[in-house]
Amino acid sequence: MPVYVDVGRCVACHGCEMACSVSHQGRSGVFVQVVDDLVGVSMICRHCQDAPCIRVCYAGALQQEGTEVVLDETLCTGCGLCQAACPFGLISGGTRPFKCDLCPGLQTPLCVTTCPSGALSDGPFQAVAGHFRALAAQKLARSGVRR
Amino acid sequence: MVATICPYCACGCGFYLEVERGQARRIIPRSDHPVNQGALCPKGWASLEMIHHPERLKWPLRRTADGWERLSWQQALQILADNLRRIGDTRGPDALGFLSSTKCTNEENYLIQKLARTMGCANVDSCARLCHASTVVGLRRSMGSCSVTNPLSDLANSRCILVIGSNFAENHPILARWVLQAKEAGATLIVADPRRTPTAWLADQHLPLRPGTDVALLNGMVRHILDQGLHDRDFVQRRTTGLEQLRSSLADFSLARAERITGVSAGELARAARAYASSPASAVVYGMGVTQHASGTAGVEAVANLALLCGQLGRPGTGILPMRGQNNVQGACDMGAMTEFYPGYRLPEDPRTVQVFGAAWGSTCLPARKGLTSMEMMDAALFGTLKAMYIVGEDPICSHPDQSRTRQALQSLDFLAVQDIFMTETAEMADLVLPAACWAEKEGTFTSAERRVQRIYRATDPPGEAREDLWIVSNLARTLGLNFPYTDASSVFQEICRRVTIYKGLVDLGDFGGFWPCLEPGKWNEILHQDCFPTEGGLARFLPATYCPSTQEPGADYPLLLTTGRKVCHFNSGSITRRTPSLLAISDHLVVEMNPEDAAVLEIVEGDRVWVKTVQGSASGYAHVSGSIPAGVVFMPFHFPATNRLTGDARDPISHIPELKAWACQVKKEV
Repeated sequence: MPVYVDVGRCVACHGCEMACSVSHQGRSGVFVQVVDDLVGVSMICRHCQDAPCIRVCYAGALQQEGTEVVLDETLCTGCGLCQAACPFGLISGGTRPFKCDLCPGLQTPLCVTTCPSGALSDGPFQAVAGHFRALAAQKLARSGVRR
Repeated sequence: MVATICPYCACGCGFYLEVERGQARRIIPRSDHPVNQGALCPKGWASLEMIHHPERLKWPLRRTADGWERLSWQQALQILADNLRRIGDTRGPDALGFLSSTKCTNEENYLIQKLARTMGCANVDSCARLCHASTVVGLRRSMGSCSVTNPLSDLANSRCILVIGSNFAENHPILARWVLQAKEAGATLIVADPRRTPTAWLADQHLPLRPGTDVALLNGMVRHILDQGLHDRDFVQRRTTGLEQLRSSLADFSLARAERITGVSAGELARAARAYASSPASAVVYGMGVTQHASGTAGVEAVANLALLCGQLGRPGTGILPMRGQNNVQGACDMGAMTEFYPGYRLPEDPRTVQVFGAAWGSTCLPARKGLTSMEMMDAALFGTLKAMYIVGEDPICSHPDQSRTRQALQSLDFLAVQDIFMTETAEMADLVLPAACWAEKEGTFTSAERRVQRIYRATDPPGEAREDLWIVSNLARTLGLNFPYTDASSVFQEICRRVTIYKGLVDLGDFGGFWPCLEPGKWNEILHQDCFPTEGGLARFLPATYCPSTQEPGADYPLLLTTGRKVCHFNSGSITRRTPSLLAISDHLVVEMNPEDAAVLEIVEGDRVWVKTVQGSASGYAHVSGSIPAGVVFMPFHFPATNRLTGDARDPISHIPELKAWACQVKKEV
């Protein structure tokens, strides 16, 4: 499942970026973009259901496995087409491409657990949407009480 | 896997170090740790890179005409002892100065201040002087205790959080976790900061006050609360004294006046005051935006007045949280590494203090007076009365204001010894450099900002012949013929538990440490001031806080106001983070942040190399043009040595904390 960012909570500390890089031999699949010196947006592979990177990969290095987009480095030719195809710019590296692998072996990706402000979450679409819906409902409920 | 505590800020996050063939290889944040719950900020992750860094100091070094000469420990300790003894004997112990380190353990701080004082020298201080000296003095005067009152995680129980002069999102990122939990439950977050920081981004209300006007902002709020009768009359009556003096001191402090001074509208100030006063549980978080001013003590006292007036103390979700910068700055103060206090905040002027410690340490020459603060040590060195300094784990060249003056001061010493893990800018000037072990290479305890005393364990061996500060100080003391019968950190900690009342019951620290004050094992109050204050009579005092305009208002020659602070990927003087490749990859140069309006007038665009000039000196950096900073204000982080070339020597008369937040400057594009 892809990792979601709640931009209202992100403080742009780069903790997720560092954690990813430390646990992936110095390469990070997370990029914290700071927009207008104000909003931190933690950019992480969306593991698209119909992924442009898979479509352009003629070597078959990128494959859909369940809900994940998986990169097999041994098949990669380093042509760079996937990097150009990704609408979020989240495949990095030249001849050694790298993207979010959702931390195989860990129950929750490291970027999610390391986030000090709890801005990142993972889980199925419905669960994430449900979480945000519950928060929004609480907020609405409170504003009702105040009046 | 070795359990440890993060060596950077004072939150006290826990993680494991995975050790392989004697090398620390991996960090695993502790998901069971009550402070960080498995989270870790980028500095925590990068802490691994300092341990096996190629530039670590490995051998004792002596300066010679031909460069550094490698010494044996025996030679080095003899040289240090001989010089301290020679200068102490000929010029008196007051010609010596000791700087202890808030990066060192409690045990090491205890020993360093003991070393100084058993030599008869009262001049022992630490970098707590530069960050929260005003907190220590101010909060003690008003409520008898000078620490965070509630655990950091208790912020989650707040209904209103007022943050003033703290950019916790960058400097104590883990706080964001607890603050956002509170917000999610409906709390209001108010952030007062001249800049629109990442912390301000989280806020419901941002009060962009002019740098150096914190006292005016707080006084305006306090006066409004009094005028509107929003204060907690019951709390004020039962728990405090001095309300009438406070009221009369604010006679001329209308909201309109506060608006004129701070630049924040009276309506916004009134809204913030009402939110804080009327919520069932409000907390104040403050940082160096309040403390690092020539009126720093007044700022802290103004914060205390606000909390006392509204009765926002002693309950879950309330409290005052001065956010400490260094991992053990609280502990260093507790251990007496401040010249005003012996261990446990005992006053040197109290005859019982010298009696108790004299008997404990078998010494008859303990100073019964306060000595020089670290700021005054530099004055005394320039004046020629201070002749030798032994500096442990501090880099005054980068961290003290007015760098050229600090440099001159250290140059005029007869003898300077520096003990550190890297060859810092200060160490470069030393006659003798001693290589120390870093946090992962030793045992001991750290006291985090929330008064949590936690153990650290040795994970790896120090590089080369580097040694734990505890070993170095004990052996130096023995070379000097002093009574230092300590074998390891735990033997020192046992003595601390015996001699420092607030640590008395902390004999078994368990997995996640314990809070002081703790008089009986396992029993402590995480929340202070629930029933009474630790003052004579048990009451807190309102202290009129006088607003003084900044020492340096911008004028014709220096039209802009320079304020200094921190960035998320660096730490303090930068001696560690400027050597950490992964942090440098995110931010590797000194930025000068300025507003687009000012930049346009000066024809400066993003990335231009610029020179910043003040009456003290000039420094260059790269422009970052940003709407996050108000017009007329320039921001520079102090992690790079150049910044403190610009700051000046104004200081708070009571706590001697320097003015580092508001200084007139001019900026020019490099041609």
